[in-house]
Amino acid sequence: MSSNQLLLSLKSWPEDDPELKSVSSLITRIQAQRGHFRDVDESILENEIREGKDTDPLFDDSPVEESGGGASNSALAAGEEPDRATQLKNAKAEIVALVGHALNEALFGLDYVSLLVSLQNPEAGSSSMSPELKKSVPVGSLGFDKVQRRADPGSVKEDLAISHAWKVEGLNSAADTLMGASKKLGDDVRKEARYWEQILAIREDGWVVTRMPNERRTLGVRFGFAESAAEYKNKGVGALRRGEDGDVVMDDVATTGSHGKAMLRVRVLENGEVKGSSVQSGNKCSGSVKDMIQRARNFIYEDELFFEITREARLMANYGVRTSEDAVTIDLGGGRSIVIDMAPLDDGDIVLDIHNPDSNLAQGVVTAFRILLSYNHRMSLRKRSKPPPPLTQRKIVPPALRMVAPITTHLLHHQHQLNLQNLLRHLIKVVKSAGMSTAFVTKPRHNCLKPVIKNVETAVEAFLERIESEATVKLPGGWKVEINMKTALGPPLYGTAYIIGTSHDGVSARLMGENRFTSSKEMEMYLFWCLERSIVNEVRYTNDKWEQIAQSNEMWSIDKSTRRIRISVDRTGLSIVTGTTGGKDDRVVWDGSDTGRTLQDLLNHPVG
Amino acid sequence: MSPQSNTKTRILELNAIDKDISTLLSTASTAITTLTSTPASASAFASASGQYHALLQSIVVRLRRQILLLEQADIPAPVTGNGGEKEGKGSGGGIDVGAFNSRNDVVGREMEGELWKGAKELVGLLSGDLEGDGDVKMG
Repeated sequence: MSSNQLLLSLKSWPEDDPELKSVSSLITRIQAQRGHFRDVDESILENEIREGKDTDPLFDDSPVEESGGGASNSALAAGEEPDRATQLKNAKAEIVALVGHALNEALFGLDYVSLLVSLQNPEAGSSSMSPELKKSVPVGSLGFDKVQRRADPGSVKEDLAISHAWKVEGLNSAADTLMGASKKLGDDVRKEARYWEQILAIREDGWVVTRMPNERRTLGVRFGFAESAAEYKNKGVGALRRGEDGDVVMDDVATTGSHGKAMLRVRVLENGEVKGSSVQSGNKCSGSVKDMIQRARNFIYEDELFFEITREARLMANYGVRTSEDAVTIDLGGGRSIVIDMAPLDDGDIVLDIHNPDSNLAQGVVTAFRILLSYNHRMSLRKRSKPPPPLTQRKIVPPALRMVAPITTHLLHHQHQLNLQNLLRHLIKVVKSAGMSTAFVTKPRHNCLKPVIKNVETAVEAFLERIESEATVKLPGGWKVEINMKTALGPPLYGTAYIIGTSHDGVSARLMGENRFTSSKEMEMYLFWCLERSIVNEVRYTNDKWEQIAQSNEMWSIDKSTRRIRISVDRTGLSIVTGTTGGKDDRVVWDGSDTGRTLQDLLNHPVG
Repeated sequence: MSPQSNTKTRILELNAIDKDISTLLSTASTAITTLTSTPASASAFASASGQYHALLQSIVVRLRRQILLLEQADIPAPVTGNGGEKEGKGSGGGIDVGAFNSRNDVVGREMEGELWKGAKELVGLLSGDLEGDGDVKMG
């Protein structure tokens, strides 16, 4: 074992009294011992330690003390307080001097009165005379008498005139002061009446006039929304102060954001070009308080709306929603997109251009956003009316509102439905130009059309659900295709799904029943396939000289087995390739334009 | 009487009292001026001061009435418990009346009404265009 071996004791150390070492008790003890920490710095403390002195540097060797008698003055001049001890010393000396002075004066008075009294009553007078006075003057040596002055009639008259004039002047000045006060009060009353008149007008307009929270003496008007998110809840009260001339003034209310942005704007963009925009109406320039309250209310609503939109949009990047600092873009595909941002109010009265469908769309979207926020406010009230969730340690972040999602669902569904309709129209045109009969019927958004709106909530709820459209297509050859498209941004669809059911006689193709596609491209391919097989079936029905080869899209002639046709459908249209073994293939295409030639013509009178 | 019109009458009454107080001061001034005019007329002063007292009396009576009405309406709200020292500040026992009054959602309801009205107008405006958006038949 080495000499520096550790000796461990199993007994615990006695615990220090926490009170003794706590900073609060240390500070009081240090202050009691050596005064304040002011002007204490490292060097002073080091000096003190080196010299082992137990003295207070502030009193003994601080620079303050070294500067001598002018210490307190110079300290005061430097904007500092002299230290407390000097202050006390000075004050004490001052009080002592004043008390001595007062005592002296009182004794002089006593001597004077005593000397006077000693003339009449030497006993009483001399008892209170000071020995000094007794030494210098004999008792009873100061006499007194009442002086009787004869009044001078001239001066009496003058006195009366003066006093009368003073009285008149006094009364006049009192009358003037009263009149001035009356005028001032009258002015104030006029302003007050004007103020209250305007307050009443605001109240009659339906606004809630109330005391300002935290500012009891001021009236305020509430233009905010009780069900707003926490960020906006406390903003919606504006103080109604009285202006110079009694008008109501609202000076601390925001009616626009930065750069005058006050209202939500929706624009429809196609390949970066603005095709349509919503209207930012609102009487921008009116300075009246009522309009200002209205603008403040609209702004706080729009601001919250945009805040909630960006909050929700950030979570929707997987649905083609992009967010930047000041805009949200919903991508609709095909180069079209919808941009949502905040914009200043329009100048003047710009009305909606109802002949521009894109402007109508933009205005519709902006209206839908506003209604959805108000619906969300309703839901928030409903939620608050229920018993609160159990308390937890975690901070509960309110979930994002559902506004962008339903609107995007609608927009995407609408876009996909338009695409589907265009595709079907094209196919029908193609088939008809080839001389066959076909038709389709669509029922757009059939699950959310409500003929009667009973109340706000059911109306909006229908809008929030997933959306379905149906299309029924009659193809040639007795084929019937039913397309059911559904859009929902969320499980289980995450976009648009097409459920396509086919029914036919089962000869040209075995596949029947329902198929499900989640991309429009797949759906398109399937429809092309259906059309190919249905045309095969049509040929089989109408022309008994042709036979399908192994359920493919090729057929051969029964008469002449070397002659074949292949039927294929793609985006350009229907193309039939005819040919014979060993010969050259011919290709006939129906792309919807009138070729003056039908499929039957081709089959009966082959080219070449 | 509805609280709305009641408030309005009260405020108008208080304004009238306010106005009379300023008149009262000017009456006092007139009364004093009659004393200094030459020749001073006792009857003129008597009538002026009579007017002053009558006005004062009417103000006092009306103010009393207002106080009575306020008390009947429990304004300031009756103080209960230990909130006694706050009495007279219009505090209602330490409750911030302003914060409470601003909790209703009149604004929200009105806004919602306006929004739906706007939406209805928009749909009405576009209904011509909307016709093409219904069932599509082709064939």
